Amino acid sequence: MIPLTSCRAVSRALFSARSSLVSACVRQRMPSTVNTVSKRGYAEQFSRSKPHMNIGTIGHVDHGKTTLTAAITKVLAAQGGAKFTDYNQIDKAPEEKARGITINSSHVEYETANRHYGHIDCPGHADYIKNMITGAAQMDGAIIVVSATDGQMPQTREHLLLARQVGIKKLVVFINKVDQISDPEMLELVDMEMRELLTTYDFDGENTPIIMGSALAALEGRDDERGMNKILELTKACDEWLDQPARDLEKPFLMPIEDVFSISGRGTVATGRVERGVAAKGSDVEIIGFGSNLKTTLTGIEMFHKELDRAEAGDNMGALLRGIKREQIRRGQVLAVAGTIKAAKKFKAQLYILTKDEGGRYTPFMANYRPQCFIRTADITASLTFPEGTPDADEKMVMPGDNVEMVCNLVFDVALEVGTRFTLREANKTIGTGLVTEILEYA
Amino acid sequence: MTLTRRLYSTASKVPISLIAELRRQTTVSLPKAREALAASNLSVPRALEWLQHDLSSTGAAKAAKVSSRATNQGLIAQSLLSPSSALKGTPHPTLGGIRAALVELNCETDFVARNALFARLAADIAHTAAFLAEPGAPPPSPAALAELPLVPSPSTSTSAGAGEQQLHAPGDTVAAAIRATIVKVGENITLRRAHTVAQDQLLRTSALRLASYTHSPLHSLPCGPTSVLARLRISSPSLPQRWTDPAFTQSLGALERSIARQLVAFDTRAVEHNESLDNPEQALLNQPFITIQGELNGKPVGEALAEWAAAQGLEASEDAPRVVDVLDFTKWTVGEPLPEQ
Repeated sequence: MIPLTSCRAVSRALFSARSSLVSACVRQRMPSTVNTVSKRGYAEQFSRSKPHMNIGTIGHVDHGKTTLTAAITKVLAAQGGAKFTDYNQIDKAPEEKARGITINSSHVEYETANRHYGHIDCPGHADYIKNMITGAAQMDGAIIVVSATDGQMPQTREHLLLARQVGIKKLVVFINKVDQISDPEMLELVDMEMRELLTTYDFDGENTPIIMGSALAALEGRDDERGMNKILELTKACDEWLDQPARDLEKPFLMPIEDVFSISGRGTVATGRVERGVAAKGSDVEIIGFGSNLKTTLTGIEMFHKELDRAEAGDNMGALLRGIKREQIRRGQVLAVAGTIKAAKKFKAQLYILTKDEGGRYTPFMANYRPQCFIRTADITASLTFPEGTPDADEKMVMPGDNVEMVCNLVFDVALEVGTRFTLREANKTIGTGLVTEILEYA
Repeated sequence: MTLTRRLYSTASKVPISLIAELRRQTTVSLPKAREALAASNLSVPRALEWLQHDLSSTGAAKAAKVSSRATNQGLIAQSLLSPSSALKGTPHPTLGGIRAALVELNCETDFVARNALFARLAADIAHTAAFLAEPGAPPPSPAALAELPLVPSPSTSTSAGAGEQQLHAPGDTVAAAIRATIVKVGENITLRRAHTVAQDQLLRTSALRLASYTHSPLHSLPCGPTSVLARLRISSPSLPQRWTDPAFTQSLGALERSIARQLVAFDTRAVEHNESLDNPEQALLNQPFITIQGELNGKPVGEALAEWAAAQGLEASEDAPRVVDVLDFTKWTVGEPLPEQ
């Protein structure tokens, strides 16, 4: 193996030689090793021109989720919006599908006229909830796949419940295999039942787009009326009906305070990494958490000891705060645009408790367990209880590996909103992660 | 193809509203609902009857079609018919001895495992196993249990969503009930294992008890991913005096529930320590009792049981040095590898 640097030198030398020579036959005589090196696999450029969204398919094992995914990539590939991913490539090896493997999020991707989609397949309820809580894969929207030959099945309820539980507000329904049904009345019934069920589970049953087609026809390139055209209709419905999640940059400014300094002659500086939004010099902010609710102005923004006018999500910044004493603020509080987030002490959260193999606890815990709750930069003791009305709450236990909804009662208030993630720790060991689902008591 | 065409041509008379009605009651697939109505002169009650007969034949075909698919998800269901034997000379709230069962029913995805239909089936099968268990006989093999007539559990008929018609006729076997559910959910369903406890005893100073726990039960039924059933014996010369005291019954119930939870809470492999265990905390009696409330919390289970007995005024007799004795337990988790037979 030739060291890379010498290869580069050779190729540079050859390049200059080549550029000075016009003859093609000289080029053919170039050493082959150089060719392989220059072909070293750089990935294609990812274009950010379209907003990205993670979408998942949920449905019964036989209703054609994989065929639909393959069909979408095929139809969109014809428009240059995807790379055709065949059935076999999507339906991974059986050993990989065995339980315990996390979702392979977005190994299938495609582009419509308006969006870029990462495609997630959903192996099971528990796996998905775990991924949602830990933040490994987030589904922003979903396509529910139902076969016209069976109609909705008993477990379609569980599919919709999952979508609800992971916070999906809108879905698109694809009724598959319509080429196997000759009676349009039957399709009406499937449509009617589906809308009824959607409404039962708090989705907008009346307006949810329901597209009837055949994924197989689209995949095999026959019967465009039921195949390709319906796939295009489906992707169009996804574009139009599913709401684009806001990107961090578009959200209101928030910076968790990591450290506080007092700089003589300048004032108090809070440092931290901007979680979301954009801060401009001179804008008004609130300091929230630990009982405080101070209003102040960002009189200066610094990064690497240099002043700048704005800081955006992802930046590590120092914020110079007008009229604030060093003692008034501390790590764990946040700087945020006034009125965009409130401090809370009590909230409901969906928790995933790590197993001992994942480094978590060996034994279960019961109500009134008091771990440390790490929310952004804050580290606060929390008391965990079961939601009101839980039967036999004082005898109920939570085992490592469980997904469970619990009420967290913090000793101090901290800036919180639905969707805030946090970790639970005990004796310097992470024992679980959580996602805020409902604020019960603001500070 | 010819078959389906024929079906639809005869079925075009079936009104959509009736199909919808039948599906609401049975959750059978669309073509099946239509076929049933067409074959029974558009009468819903007769269509239900027709479906019961049909499912035993087409159900077998559907079950055969999916039979090769792996079933790694599911539920452990338990049925506790009689949690305690009676004491001689005291009024009998329960006659005879203890009677209970544990079954594991598997399916392909946890979406189905979480469905009420599946949970009710699992609970019904557990009830059947407990109901038909023979005292002294070994637990039935899954194959033998499948041939028994299904005895639906009273709790499943009152649980949520029970408005749906059960498609298995009275007297149908467990296997037929499983097939009917396979047809509805379209997934392979297998009965993996069954355990039964049926033991009669009527003594003056000793009673058999069952302690049970199901972790995260679904649909208010005793079925979940992990379940335990433990056999206990309580013996003391002063037991008859305490037996009918409501305070004693309550305290004993709480203790038993704690023991059952403790068996699940730890990686419990045995009641007492023996050489086959990797560490002493795999033995119940050595574990700190973390699942009990009050002052016994945290003490080794063995000590805590003795202290509880002393606090209840139960002294040990000569032939039974332990007042509360955990005889054995069965703890199952869905999908765990089975021990070599």
